[in-house]
Amino acid sequence: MATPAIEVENLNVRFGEAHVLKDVSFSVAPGESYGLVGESGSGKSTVLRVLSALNPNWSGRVAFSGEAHRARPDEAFFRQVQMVFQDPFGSLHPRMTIDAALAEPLAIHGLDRPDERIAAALKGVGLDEGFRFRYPHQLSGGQRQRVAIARALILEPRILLLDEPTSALDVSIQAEVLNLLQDIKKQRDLTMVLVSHNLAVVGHMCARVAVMNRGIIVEEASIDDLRRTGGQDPYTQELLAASRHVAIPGAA
Amino acid sequence: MSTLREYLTSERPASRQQARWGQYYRQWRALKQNPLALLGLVIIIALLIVAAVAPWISPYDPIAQNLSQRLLPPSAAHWMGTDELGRDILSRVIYGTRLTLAVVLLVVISVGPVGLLIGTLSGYFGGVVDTVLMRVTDIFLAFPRLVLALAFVAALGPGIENAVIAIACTAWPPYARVARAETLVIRNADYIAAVRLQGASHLRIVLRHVVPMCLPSVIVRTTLDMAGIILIAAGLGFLGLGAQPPSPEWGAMIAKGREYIFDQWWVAAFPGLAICLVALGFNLFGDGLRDVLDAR
Repeated sequence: MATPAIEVENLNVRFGEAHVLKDVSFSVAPGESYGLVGESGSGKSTVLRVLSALNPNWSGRVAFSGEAHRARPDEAFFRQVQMVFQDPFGSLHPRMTIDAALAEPLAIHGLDRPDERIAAALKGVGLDEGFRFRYPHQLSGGQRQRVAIARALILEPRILLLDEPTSALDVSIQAEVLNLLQDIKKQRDLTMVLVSHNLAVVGHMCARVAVMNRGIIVEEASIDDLRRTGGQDPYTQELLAASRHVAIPGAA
Repeated sequence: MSTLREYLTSERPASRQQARWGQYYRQWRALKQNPLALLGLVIIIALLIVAAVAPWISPYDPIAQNLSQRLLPPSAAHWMGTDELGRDILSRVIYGTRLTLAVVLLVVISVGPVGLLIGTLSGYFGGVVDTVLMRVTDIFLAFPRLVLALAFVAALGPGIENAVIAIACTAWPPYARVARAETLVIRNADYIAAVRLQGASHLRIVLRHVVPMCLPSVIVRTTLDMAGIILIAAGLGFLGLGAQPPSPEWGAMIAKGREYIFDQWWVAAFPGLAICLVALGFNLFGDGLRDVLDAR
């Protein structure tokens, strides 16, 4: 088996007294989409914050393509790993135009041809040139999330972390954004980790999922297995039963 | 005209400049809704114009003494009367705008950036940096501003430059406090996490992403504070520690007029009116600006 793109072994995170992640282990193959599901407070977002180096306080072993993950990584790391946040209303700087927001990562890493790269990035997420010099408050939620995706992709990362990328959006927009992510993944051969509380979303995007509850991965299985068997762990069964009542249009 | 409006209100701006001007235009339209703020703006602009053309519009030399014409009441020849040395008060008030503006601008230019930087650094880094910077701020806040300014001027020696330094030294702590409070909220926002994830340095995050968010409240605070700065400058002048005679500083003029206030009221009243008007102008404008810049 090739070196996994992401390898996590016995990851532990404590916030003071609270033991948020308990011995979490999983690995993601290059080009794979991996889902993390669980309810609020299950620790799934904390896993992403460790992977993205936003949370430097953790113990255990984390490696990207065999290289150990450090709590304070260097600039090169951020060209490999990028993240899309849950709330597109909070993740774009309110006083920067879309153009300025996309130019920032290019300036930080000193990439050439910023104008062309920005134009291409917007086109890649289905926004035309007219959006480029708008402010975030002139955009809808779905358009903002597209900008956030464009910003994450403009550094051409190998790994994309998605923290509930659709849960802040209208149902009608959710499917659009998911399909966009699906297309991008195919084009770029990205490795993705998707965090969601919505099994339907994860089922649409990922082949393999881990179900998390109270900081522990209770079950790891392929989506097909889950669909067929309904899960081994009682918590998985409960979650699956609950999600059968809500489905996403277009994501079936 | 209509094409200009179309250019400014376009939902699809085609360049950075157009986006920026469009933003300014929206803020201007919001400001226009507020008649009091406009009045404040008019007063400020009038002040700027008077200061610029002072030599041409003042009827007399503000320093030339004429002892045969001392303490004349307001008349057609001297609209605001003359003072105890026979100098025309209108001319002195007009020239006084220059001193007042100079003090206000120098203080604002030095205080705004210092307060903003100390506040954002303190809020962004937290921990030891925060503790040290905020305790220093507390020390400065512990004294009444005028008293502290007095102490500084007493140490530095009287004069308008030293008055500016003294006022600047006492004016920055509130700005640091405001900027710190804003930064504490901003630093946990997703858009800051996003730039951090792009590999931005701390300095870049503070200067390019945190400071622009704190700027509106600091600007508003500045305009509201200008009235206070004018009054402290006038207060120092009144106590003889600011501008030195014979320069026509409003506070110093009031101090002189105090001796004659019962018999020759105009000597103190007109410079007082000028201070009142300018302070009011800055206050009204600052109030309106707060509504415009905070609207999100």
